[in-house]
Amino acid sequence: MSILLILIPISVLIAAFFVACFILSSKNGQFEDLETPAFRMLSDGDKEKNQRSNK
Amino acid sequence: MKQLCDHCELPIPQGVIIEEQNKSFCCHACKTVFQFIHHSKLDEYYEIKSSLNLNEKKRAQFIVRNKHLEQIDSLGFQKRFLLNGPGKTIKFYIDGMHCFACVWLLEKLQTLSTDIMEIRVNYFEKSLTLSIAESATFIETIEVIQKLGYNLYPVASDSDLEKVKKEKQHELLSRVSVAAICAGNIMICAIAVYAGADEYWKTLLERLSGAFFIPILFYSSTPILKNAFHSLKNRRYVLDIAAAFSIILGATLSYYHLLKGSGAIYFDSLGTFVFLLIGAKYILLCSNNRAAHLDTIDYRLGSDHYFKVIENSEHGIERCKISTEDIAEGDMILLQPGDTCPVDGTVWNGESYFDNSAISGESQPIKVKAGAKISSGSKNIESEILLKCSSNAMNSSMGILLDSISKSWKQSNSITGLTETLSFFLFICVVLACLGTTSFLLWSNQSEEIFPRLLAILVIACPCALGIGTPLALGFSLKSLVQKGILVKNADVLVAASKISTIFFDKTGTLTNGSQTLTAWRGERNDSLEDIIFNLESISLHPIAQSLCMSLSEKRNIPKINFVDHLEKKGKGVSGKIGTDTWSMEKFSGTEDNGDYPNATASTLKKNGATVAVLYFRDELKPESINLISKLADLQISAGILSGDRASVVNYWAQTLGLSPGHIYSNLSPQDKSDLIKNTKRAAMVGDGINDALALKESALGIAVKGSLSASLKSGDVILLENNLFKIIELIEFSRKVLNLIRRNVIWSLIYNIGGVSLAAFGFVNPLVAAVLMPISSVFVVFNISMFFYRPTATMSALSLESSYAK
Repeated sequence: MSILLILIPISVLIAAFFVACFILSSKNGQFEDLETPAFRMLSDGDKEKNQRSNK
Repeated sequence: MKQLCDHCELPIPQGVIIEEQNKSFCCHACKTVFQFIHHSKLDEYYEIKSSLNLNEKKRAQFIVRNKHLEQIDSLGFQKRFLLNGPGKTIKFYIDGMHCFACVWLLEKLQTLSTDIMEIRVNYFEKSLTLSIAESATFIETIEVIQKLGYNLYPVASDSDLEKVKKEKQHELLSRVSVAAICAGNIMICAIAVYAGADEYWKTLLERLSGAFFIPILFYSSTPILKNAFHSLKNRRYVLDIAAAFSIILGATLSYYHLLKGSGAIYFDSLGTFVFLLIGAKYILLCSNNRAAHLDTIDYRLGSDHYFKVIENSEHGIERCKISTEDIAEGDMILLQPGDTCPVDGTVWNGESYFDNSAISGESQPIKVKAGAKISSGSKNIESEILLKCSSNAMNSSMGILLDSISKSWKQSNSITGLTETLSFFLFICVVLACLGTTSFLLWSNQSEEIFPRLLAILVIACPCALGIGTPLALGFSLKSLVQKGILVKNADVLVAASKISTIFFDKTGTLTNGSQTLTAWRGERNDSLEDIIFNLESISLHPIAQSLCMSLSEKRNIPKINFVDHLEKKGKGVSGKIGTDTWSMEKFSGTEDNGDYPNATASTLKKNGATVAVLYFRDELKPESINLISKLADLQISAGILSGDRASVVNYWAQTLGLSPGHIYSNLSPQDKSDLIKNTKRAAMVGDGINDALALKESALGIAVKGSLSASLKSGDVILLENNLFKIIELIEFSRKVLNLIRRNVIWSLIYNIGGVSLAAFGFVNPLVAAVLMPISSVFVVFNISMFFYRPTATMSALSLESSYAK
């Protein structure tokens, strides 16, 4: 059971890391528009990707 | 006239006609395709195709009128609207976006030109962010977008308000994320403890959850605590007070027990509670912010150029270009047909007709002569006049009106009424229960039981259904209303909409189409006469002539006829010669009254001076208007008209619509309208023009109809994204349903809380049971709400997907 003494601090660190990531991305506006990208993904065909990579 | 192919609708070249099943085609390919479509029972295709053509014509008409972005590349314009971003970036509110296919289409535009760096569309915000290269100009891209049938309104860049709102949203999201991760970890610790960890691990895990609770208490819950503190200071009762009370008390007691090493701790239930509460607040804030950028739309556009006339002793009369802002009092300017008068003034020279419908709602153009006063915002429709300005653009009647609209801030009434009174009632109950329990326990000498029981009461009594359910329900409803084509600016509007008892409509442009259309045709009528009329009128800029041409050409393609001596006499009509026959289309001047067509304008078609046909024009009701009024009566809402038009016209339409005379008002100035609406309780205003903007702002519920000038876009609480008045019914019915849902949640939570509080008061609830019961009530409320919203949203997204594939 004493392995928990190591695992718990590690998990706390990981959690802190993810919170930091989340806050950073929310500051960059990633969660401002949650609906449109979901639609955008469906219609972004291969064509557009090719065009973009050609640019 | 040449025959058209029934498939491709192109003229059939002579001699190659192919006939089959009463249809004619220009080639075998067309015939084969037609047969295929016909055999597959897809004939609807042709209907859709023709309606598309119609839309394109209407769109073309619309673009011509929509000139407000002409100056977009000027320096002054860019100063106001340029945002930080790659290259030059401007954000627009986009009108006319209906389904996801539009997002696809608009974002695809960036592949058209290398000048366009990025186009980003936000579907639910109805906004478009356009970035172009430093060296490029906006106008080309905007013209393409307008040609596609969308209308753009730039959103001012210097709005600190929006920035603050965005920051607030980010901050709240950070608080939610911290609360989520901490509460989740506390839960894991709690499960281990409840599962029966031994004494050593129990203390450790409890301390750990105590540590996890610190960020929740000091970071995540601060909005709740602050809000509670402020409302206590202002002696208002809000839900957050009860929530803050239980958070603080629960945290204090739990930490006390933690340090003491015995007693119950509540970190798990408090953590979940804070997370849900803050999460619901975030969802509501997002929905409220969605339409927030509409308030920053700049409606003072339309900075057109006019000609200033300077009398010069050397050259006589000289003309120079002048823009609206530079016009000063005393200047002489030329107003050409189609120009909107930018300032107040008097006619110095010339005669014309003016369309005042934007200012007063008057449906008929008014004749003006030299000496007549003209107010800003009216439109010259016939011939050039010289105007002596008596004001500049800012202090003209229109300028003053627009100013008062932007200054008058709508008093925001938060979700008051029902929810607040009920939660106050709940609060009183809880306080009484606490006092009762305390005195009972003191009396029976069980003083050590006081704190745990009080806390159990508070934890259970926490008004979750109110605190979480209400913002969640309102937030979701704003979202599903956008999908229905109704843009609601904030959640309070829904409460107002459910209580509406009277709706006032503007007449011109709202109940009616707002343009003179062909109503009746007396005398001979056949295709060749229609051809002659179309070609005669095609040179005129008069609105009646234009609407006539449009309605004639909608049905079929009209061949071109060339006239000799084809000319327009201002104020009289048009005439032209074919061979020896002189045809003319004149204003009807007969003494004969209009009979069946009151309030109609009439024109006569004459051949060599003899009347052939009389055509009547009038502003027609929108097709849905009559049904709308009867539907409103079913909802027990009385309808009325507020119009600036003459009493005879207004009364005629009121009678046609079957409106009771009690709510019909005519001859109103914009100020009168807003006064009337202010003095009527629970009244909604539906309008479209600048003259309604003030009334929209002052009413309990202002509904702006699409196609409106942007001033009413800004002042309305609700914007109908489709030009369909039935959306009003949908809005009211939906808001009533949502309010019922909130009520159901409140009643459920009252029953639950009263039951829970009485159980806790008698000591039947230990902390573990309380910790389980509390989330159950929240989960039930959330479940209840998602059941209500899940089905409509699912079908809506399926629909928008379908349509995106269809293109």
